[in-house]
Amino acid sequence: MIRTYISIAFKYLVRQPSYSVLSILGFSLAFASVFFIYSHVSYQNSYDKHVPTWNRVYRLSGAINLPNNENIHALLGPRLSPVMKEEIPAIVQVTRLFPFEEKCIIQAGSQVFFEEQVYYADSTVFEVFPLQFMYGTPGEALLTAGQVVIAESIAMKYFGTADAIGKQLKLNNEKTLEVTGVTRDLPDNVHHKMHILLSMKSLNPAILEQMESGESENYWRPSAYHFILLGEHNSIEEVKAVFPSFYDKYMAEFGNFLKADFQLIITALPDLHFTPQYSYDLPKGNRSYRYLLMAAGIFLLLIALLNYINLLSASMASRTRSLGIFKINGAERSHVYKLLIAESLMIILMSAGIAWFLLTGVEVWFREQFDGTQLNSGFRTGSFLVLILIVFAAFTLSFLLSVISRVYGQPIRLLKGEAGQFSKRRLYGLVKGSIILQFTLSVILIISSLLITRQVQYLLKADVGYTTDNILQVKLHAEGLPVDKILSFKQELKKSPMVREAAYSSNVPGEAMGTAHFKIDVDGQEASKIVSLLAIDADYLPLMEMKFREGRNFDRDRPTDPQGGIILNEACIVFLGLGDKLTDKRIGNIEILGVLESGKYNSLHDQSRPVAMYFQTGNRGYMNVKLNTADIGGALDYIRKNYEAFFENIPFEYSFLDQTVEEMYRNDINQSKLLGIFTFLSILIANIGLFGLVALLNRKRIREIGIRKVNGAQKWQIVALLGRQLLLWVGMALLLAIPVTWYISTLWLQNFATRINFPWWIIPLGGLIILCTALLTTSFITLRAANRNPTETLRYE
Amino acid sequence: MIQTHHLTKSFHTDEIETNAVKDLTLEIEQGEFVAIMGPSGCGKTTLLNLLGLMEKPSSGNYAFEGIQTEGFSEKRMTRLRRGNMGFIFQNYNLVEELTITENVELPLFFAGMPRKARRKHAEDILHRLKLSHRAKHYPRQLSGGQQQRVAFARAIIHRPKLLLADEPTGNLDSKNGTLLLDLLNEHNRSGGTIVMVTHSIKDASCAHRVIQLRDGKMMN
Repeated sequence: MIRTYISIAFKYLVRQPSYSVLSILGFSLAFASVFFIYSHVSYQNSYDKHVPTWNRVYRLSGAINLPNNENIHALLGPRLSPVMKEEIPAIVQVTRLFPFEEKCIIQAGSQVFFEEQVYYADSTVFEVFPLQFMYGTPGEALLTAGQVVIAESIAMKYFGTADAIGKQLKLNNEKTLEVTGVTRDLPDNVHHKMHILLSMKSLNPAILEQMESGESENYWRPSAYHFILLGEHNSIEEVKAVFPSFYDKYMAEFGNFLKADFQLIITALPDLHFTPQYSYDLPKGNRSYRYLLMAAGIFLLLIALLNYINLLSASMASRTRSLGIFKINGAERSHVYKLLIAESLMIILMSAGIAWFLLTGVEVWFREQFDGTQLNSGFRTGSFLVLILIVFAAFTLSFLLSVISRVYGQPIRLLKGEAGQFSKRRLYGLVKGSIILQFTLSVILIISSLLITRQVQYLLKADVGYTTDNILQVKLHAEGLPVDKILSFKQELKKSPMVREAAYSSNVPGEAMGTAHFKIDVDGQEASKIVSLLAIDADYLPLMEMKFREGRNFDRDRPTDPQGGIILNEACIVFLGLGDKLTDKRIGNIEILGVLESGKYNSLHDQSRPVAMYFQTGNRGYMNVKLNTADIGGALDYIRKNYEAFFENIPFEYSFLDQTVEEMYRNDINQSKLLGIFTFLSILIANIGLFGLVALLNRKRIREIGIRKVNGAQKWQIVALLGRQLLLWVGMALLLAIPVTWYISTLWLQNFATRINFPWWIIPLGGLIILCTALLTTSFITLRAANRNPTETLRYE
Repeated sequence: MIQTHHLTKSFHTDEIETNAVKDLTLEIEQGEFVAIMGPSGCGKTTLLNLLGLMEKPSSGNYAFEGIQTEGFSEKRMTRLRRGNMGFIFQNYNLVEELTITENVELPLFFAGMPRKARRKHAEDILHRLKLSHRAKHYPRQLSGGQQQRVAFARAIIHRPKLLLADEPTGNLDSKNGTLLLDLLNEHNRSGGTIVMVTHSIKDASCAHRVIQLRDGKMMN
């Protein structure tokens, strides 16, 4: 029996190619999008869930509240978690990760690598994060000085084999380390990578000694990421409840000295990557995009379903006769249902198959398009595929049943090809409603997509107070080398006509910077404020074309400038509440030499960070090179050659400033591109449905068009008649879409400290886009209807 | 086999009531060949539809083989029809998407007969009607006469007690018309009851009895 149902359903699909192809096309595109969104979202969702303890591990951060200044530090003092473990029974284990300020240079044999996210870790790290060991023993791997545990991929990269036990590495040209463990790689979606972990004992003895000191500042000083592991039956509330007394006992002393409050922020491991950006933290993801994409996925599914409804309704007109024949030959309602169920399932299965094929086909393209690991997720569609199919089948079938039952009771009318005026009207009303709903969903996506693109463009083009063109940033990693070498390197670069200027800075925009506490007099009371510090030389501000609101640049010829002067950015003045006439003021014994007009160093997701610049050239940081040539390759070769001559065995690493700035918004750019693609697909699918509908509608109006033409209507009047209806639908869709879009947009824009005002013109633009695509889709059918010979059309009925 | 008692069927359109069949009482015995005649719009087809349980009467009773059908659900009507009746129409009413064999075996398919068995039945009957060579073709590939023979095959494949024919020769030339009437006669001779709506006196002459209808009422 099933075989016959499938065979009949298949024949129907073959005999109605436009209906089948358009239905399958709509579903395939929607399924492919949804599978993709699912894998993307599930990748984000499974952040840091790869260790078995993930639901018991929390990271500690601290909100340090000074008057008019709240700062959340991801790094806290080294004593914090070990003492918390002693005091709070709910905590069964703790571990600390001490990050390096910058990338590390790691030498393996004759090869040299720059590595990010290298940590000194407590030996307890593998109890809190039970990584899988391929070689070595977790309990012994990080016990003594000079031990390092590396991930499998690092071992392969350095040594060509995973079995790297006993092999040696050199860290920052200083310390020699022995590999005592190799762990299996964690996936990319972890916040802290833990691919190179050094034993805590490898730290300098002086630092180790200082860490052990019980002084109160040792709980505050930003130096380590702290992780706590709770007992299986304990809750985080127990920790929160005990912490105030812990604070009073150990931390209040330094807090009183700073005149600061401390609020412990406890973040569950899976939430770590999505909390707001804290000081000293790693770059983070944004959950709002996840919700946007999920919404886009649901919209696409709905649009595809509505599309199917439209096409099916259009095809019902031509199949009522055969339904009548079935009925007269003994078909019960259930037989007809089964036939249509078989047909929908075939359409859905074929679409799922094509979607699968499309996905694997475009996966590579997607990865190239969105260079970033976020999409490198693999398609975990197994269970999801089944789920989606079932849900969809259910949706589709429930609709089918409703359509069929509406027309089923009248076999003789079915046989005559009539579904009854009432059913026809209801069918048409249903289809019209679904088209308006499709348009509404598409308009919401179009407006959201336009808004996001505009916001991202705004971020990229925002006036940050410096130029980003043609500036190359060469990473300096010259620990242990004299600063003179940096200065000579700079002079050497400036000799080339390809280089307009070169200048030193300790950091580049978007990077975490060091901080300093400034004691400021606020309304007669002394207040402590934390600002970011940037070391620069005298050539830096001119090179970056940063403008002074007041004061002057550093001057090499004034011996007091390096020790006694600072230059502040605009945000810093506001933050410190210094008011006007700044150059007369001092902070302690430091003179404010100048104030910049702007100078935004962080992502505009957040408020502009207060930055104080001081005059120093260090051996770590960046050499910023303003190029004077269009021959970027030639300039790069020249700089590389010089770099290698000055800094042997240190890899040459560079970036362009405009790319660095763009990198701050990489996630925004990628997501806006993705949303753009899904918006395009939604328009495409909606128009497929519209095509089916207009075909149906025009068939219904052929007689009316004929009569109008016989009575003297012009072609354009017919086109206008058919177009007016579309306009009406688009108008209704716009009305429905505006409140939803307004709500979503306002919510989403909250993510950005610097944001655009809602551009009202994108609403009519959204409507115009959908109207134009709809007109384009229907113009063929409409023109054909308008061009028809009226005698022929009248004969048709 | 068939008893109707004051059978009436009315249609309503925009406040106008039309009685297609009015107060009709008749009886048809098993093995009879009855022709229904009358001018266009006199209610012939409506009567056929009522007898075929394809429409419900507005009032009156209809008993098939002693079973009163009054108040029957759509499902019960379908089941009674499926086991006992076959239909032939003027315009053949074959499913364009299905092959000849598939069309012929439709009643057996809906009756739940396994595929092999119903295929065997379909092949036998097509062979008997000299249509085997057309088994895998689609309706549009056949002539009108052939299509009507397929429709006949489909109507009798499940050995119905009652065969209802609505102007079966209306679209056929005289040669094919005669061929079909021969088939109907043969079916009747082998015990099948036939009720046929027709305009043609020639066709009606094959019947044992002719019922004349006018304005929904029986004239004889």
